Amino acid sequence: MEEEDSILQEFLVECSEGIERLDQEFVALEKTPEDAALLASIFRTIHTIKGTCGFLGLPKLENIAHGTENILSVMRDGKMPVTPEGVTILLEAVDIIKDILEHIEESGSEPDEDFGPMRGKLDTFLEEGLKAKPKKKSKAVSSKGKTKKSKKVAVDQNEFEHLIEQAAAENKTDHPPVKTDEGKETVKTPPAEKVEAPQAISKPEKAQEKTAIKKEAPKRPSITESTVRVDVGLLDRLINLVGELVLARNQLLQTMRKRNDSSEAGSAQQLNLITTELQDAVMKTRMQPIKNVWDKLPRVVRDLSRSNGKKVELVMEGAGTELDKSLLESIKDPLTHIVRNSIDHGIETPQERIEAGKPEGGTLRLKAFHEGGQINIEILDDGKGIDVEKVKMKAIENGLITSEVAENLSDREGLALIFRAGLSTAKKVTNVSGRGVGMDVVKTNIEKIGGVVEMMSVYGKGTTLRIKIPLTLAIVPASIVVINEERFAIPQASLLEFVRVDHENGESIETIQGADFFRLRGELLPLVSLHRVLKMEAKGKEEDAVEELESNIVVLKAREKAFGLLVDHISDTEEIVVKPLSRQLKGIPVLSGATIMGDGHVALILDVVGLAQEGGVFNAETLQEKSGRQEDTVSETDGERQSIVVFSVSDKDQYAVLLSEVDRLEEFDSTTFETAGGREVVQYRGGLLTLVRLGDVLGVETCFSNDENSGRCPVVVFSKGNMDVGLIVGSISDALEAKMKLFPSSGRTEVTGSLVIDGKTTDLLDINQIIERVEPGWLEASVEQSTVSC
Amino acid sequence: MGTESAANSDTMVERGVDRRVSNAPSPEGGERRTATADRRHLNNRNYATFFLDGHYLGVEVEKVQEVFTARDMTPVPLASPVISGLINLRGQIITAIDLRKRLGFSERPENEEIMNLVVLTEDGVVDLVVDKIGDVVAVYPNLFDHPPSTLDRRLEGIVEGVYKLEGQLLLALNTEALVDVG
Repeated sequence: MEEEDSILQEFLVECSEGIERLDQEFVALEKTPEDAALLASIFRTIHTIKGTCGFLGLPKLENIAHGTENILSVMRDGKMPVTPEGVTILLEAVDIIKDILEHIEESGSEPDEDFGPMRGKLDTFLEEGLKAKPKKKSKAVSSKGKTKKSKKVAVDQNEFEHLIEQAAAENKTDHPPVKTDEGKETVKTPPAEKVEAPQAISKPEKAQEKTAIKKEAPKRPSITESTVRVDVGLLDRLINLVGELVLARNQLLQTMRKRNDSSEAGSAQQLNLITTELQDAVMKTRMQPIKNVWDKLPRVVRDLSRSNGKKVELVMEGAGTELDKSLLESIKDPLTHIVRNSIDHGIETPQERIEAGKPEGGTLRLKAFHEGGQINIEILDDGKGIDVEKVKMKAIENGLITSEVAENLSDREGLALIFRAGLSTAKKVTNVSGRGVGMDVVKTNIEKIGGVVEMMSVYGKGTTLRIKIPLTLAIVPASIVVINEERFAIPQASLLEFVRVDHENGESIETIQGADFFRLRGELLPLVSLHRVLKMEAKGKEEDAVEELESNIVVLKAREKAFGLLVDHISDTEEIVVKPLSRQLKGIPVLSGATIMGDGHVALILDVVGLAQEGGVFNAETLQEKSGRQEDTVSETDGERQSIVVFSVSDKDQYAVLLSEVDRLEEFDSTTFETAGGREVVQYRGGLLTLVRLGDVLGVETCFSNDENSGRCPVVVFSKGNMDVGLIVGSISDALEAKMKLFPSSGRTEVTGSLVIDGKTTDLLDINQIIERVEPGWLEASVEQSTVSC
Repeated sequence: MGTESAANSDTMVERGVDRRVSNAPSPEGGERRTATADRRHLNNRNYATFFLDGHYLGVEVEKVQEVFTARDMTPVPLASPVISGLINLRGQIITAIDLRKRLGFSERPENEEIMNLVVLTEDGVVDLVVDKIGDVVAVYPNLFDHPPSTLDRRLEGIVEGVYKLEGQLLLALNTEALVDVG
């Protein structure tokens, strides 16, 4: 039983290797139909699958593979031309084989589905193909072509013999998995030339046999002997161990440096070198060429361009560039997505291209190369490019940005809008700019592995997408910063630069409404204090000392937004091994992990996006988003005059809401307040009005302006759909028109921004946010309403 | 895992914690322990004991990996206050939980020495910070009692029960509940 399982497993592994190549080979075959070697290679792969199915009792898989093989064999014998239609139907069959294999892998058995129709399709195609070219209808072929169920067993027998012959010729045992091995090896022939170099490891006992068969199979290089399949789990363990070794080495080197002992320095140096080399070598074991992912793309390109009626040539450069296996997995989907986008929306139809004075066929170029410890992947097309203006318009339409913001955006920034969520709801976007279907997902996925995506596009000329990802995830270079004598690591992937505030030359940190800024080359850089975010009080005793300490700025980038992190000191750069935090520490957004420093001390790794979030860096952005979302009200308000209602809660503050959002202003006697469902309500217009005390929401004490004893409470009533909510405030001072010049507020989500009214700072409240908090479902009601009003 | 792991732990011996079984009365004599998960307190068990703010507590000895004194602890800002920090245990980063805070005892006076008890849990090893380590004691089911109903509600689930030992009470703690810090 177990043995059977392992045979099946091995079969699946072999098959998946062969199948992966098939897509690519078929596409190549379509281009060079007369390539007999290629056709032979495809034939062998299918043949092997079919043959092994017989042993393992997989009739459905065998049936499809058989039908496919029949066509291939006719093609191979030159009795039928290789046509695009033929390749299409063969690819269809390969897809079914893939599906079946997947099912077997998951459940251990074939799917229940009936694949008879596909087989019929294959057979019909074969018969028609042969009828069309009936010049040499050899017996063997026709018998194969007509094979029906009754004859199947006999034919299979033939195939077995054929297989066994083949195996015998290559002087191997008749154990089935070995035979599949043969299939695999032979198929691998074309790309494997480099392995032909003398293999020192070749086993002596096999050498004799080898020489004996050399004559029969001289071309076949022996890949199996130079490669070993290793469990990925084992490799991971190796990498972890090497990570530990690197740390141990660092610790040792540090002690050595302190002791200044030259007698041991030599061996320490030796250890250092060996460790470095070992680290390199072990890292390489997980490295795989990007080709493994790219190999899937020719098929995607072929299918898409055919269905879109486009001509696309796919050029791949640097397919041998290697990167970590886990990274390879994570870029697979984004890459496919980008390629699909390029063909779907980037490259024009032949006619359009000719009209634009371009060659009829478009070119999609994939490039991969190493640069500065990173992998660069570029996807270039010579299509129609992206119209930045259209992207901006769509962004305004979708409420991502306001028209004023859009005007001030550079082309580059405008293009970056494509990566924003909300611009990617498929249909909406396709009819505007085309690009952008799920590009935010692409970006998120790439950023998850510490990479960055950039897009460049020349309208009418083409688009270039550049992805930069680290070589590996296990060990990352990081900068060490210090606050309160405690070290923190920041991965260098998100690091832009270090800045020291030059107090002597008049540079300083400026403050707007409690938010710190620094003028960096004329631009305002929002600052986040690490002390404040981590709620660690600065240890400096005097004010000046704190300022002195807070002169070091680490400029970081989170979601395309630069911000400065104020720290006490900036220490050196170290390679760190990232370790996850335990369950007890999950859910702290500013921390992404921990690492052990050279001296054995544990340091926390900071999460740059978390820092930016906690520090309120994205607030300015959310301001735009918020104001954009309430389309009919706030979007035109930036800088324009707008009616607002001004009120206060305590005697120190002043708030405002847009008049357009207010339903009515009322005054209630607090003695008429009742409780329903645990909430304060008041009978109002034949119904119940839910009351919300704004003071409680904002955490300030309500101070009623009216005579305390009268018990009259001013209430602002809001209404959405069929929901009514009354907001109890301290006093309503005015309803007026004001210029809506908003300053970004610091941190509070319920405040959209601040404006100055009659010399008094007034917070403009995001009323929906506040009500949603006490009355869940409010926002939905508001959405309903706005759709109705549209 | 199990008793062997504790027995192999040289650190324990190093600390002078011998494995001598304390002289609690033993009506069943040296009966073989057949610990089952559900009826654990119906069998003789061995507890690794420690002291916290004058209380005498213990966790099953099988759950203990080792005992050591941490020289260096990295505080974790923004974490739950019961988290003391992170320590480097031979290249492994483990989270330390201050048991005084976890159990709602009074705060430890500054500069008082602490001990680290490393326990094995379903989510890996966790360090429990205690005042002082005691002996490993064998306890017998007839001494077991359920936690008194007057016990602090915060300790519900954490304290499995009380062993009425001669002269003092031993609070038997559940390690999984201890390390379940939200």
